[in-house]
Amino acid sequence: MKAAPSDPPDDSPQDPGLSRLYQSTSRDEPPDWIDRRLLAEAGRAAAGSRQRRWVLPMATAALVLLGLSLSYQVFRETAPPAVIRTESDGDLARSPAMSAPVPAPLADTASQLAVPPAVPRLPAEAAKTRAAVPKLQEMGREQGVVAIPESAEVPASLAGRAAKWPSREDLLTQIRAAIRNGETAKAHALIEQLLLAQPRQPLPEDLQGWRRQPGGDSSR
Amino acid sequence: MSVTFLGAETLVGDEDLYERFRRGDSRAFETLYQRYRPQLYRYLQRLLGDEGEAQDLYQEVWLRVIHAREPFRAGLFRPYLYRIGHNLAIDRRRRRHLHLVSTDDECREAVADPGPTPERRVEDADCRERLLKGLDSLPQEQREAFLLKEEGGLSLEQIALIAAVGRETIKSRLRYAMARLRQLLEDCL
Repeated sequence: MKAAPSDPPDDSPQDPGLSRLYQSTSRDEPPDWIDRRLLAEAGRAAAGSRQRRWVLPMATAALVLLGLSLSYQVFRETAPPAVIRTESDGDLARSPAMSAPVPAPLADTASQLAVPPAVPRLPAEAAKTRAAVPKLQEMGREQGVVAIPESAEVPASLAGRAAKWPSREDLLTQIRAAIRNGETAKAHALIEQLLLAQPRQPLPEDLQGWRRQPGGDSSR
Repeated sequence: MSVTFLGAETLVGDEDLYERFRRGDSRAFETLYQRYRPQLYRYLQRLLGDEGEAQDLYQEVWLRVIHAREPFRAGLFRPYLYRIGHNLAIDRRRRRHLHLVSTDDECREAVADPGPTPERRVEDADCRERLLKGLDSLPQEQREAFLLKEEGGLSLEQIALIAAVGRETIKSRLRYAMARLRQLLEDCL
């Protein structure tokens, strides 16, 4: 069999008679055993190529899978809990703002701002305080002030507000102003808030006297 | 011969077949092998003038094609194939000249009279013998140029690339070779 393409150009020396004679003598061929050996070798090489074709994609897929698994594992270990729930702030946790995941940097800040673990209290005082929490939370939301439960971490969204908590002096000033203005309910609520925030600090005497008056709250 | 012809693939180019083989298609190689099997064999046989050496080199050429790590990036498969044969033949010739104390005349003597065999049936045995003898008597460069043209079907440019000489040099070698053979075979042509 003669290959067809790449005919020599016109200026190539030509001798048709000589070429014909040469082609008539071209009958030698390689032996069969050589053909068989070479084709078998080619078959083995082709099979190897087919196998090698899968190596790179498989290795790449395995690496990607491994990377994704590691990333997911790292994410799971470092991410903050998606929802923070405590016994006392269940209604806050259910709100949309509180249900959102907290970004890691904010969570760190929040943990730094969190109220330190509470000092053990007397059972009666603790029960009294726990009973007052829902009411105080409602009042705090009305005034833009949020009470942070002592046993829970501060949610990130509240961390900013924590920095704006009124000091004892501010609260006392607000309480006295409420008494002067005749806002008895507000004065009581602020006193409760003060006692809740600083249970070991006694009320000033003037406020204790006001609470003992008939118009005040003598139950406390 | 146990090679299977792939009818539809005879229309596929050599380079495509070779690329398919390198991707794992052994049938593509069979087609490619069948295309160049006899020509390459005769090219080596008549270039070297020794049946055993030709068989060795023929296998080596194809094994290099099969296991080539870096095949030709661009160009044609046929010149690539014959270039491998050419380079291997040169290496073999150099080794032979280094290690054997034999002259070209002795080698020619051995091949010049191979004797008729049942496989080699030609109409004019005398002319055939004289042609082979005349071919073997040509200088190596002229003989190779003639074989690459007649057996390989290569162009002047392709032969020049394989032999690493200019196109005009190949043209000159071919002209001398043909003139010499025509002179020897005047009554056969």
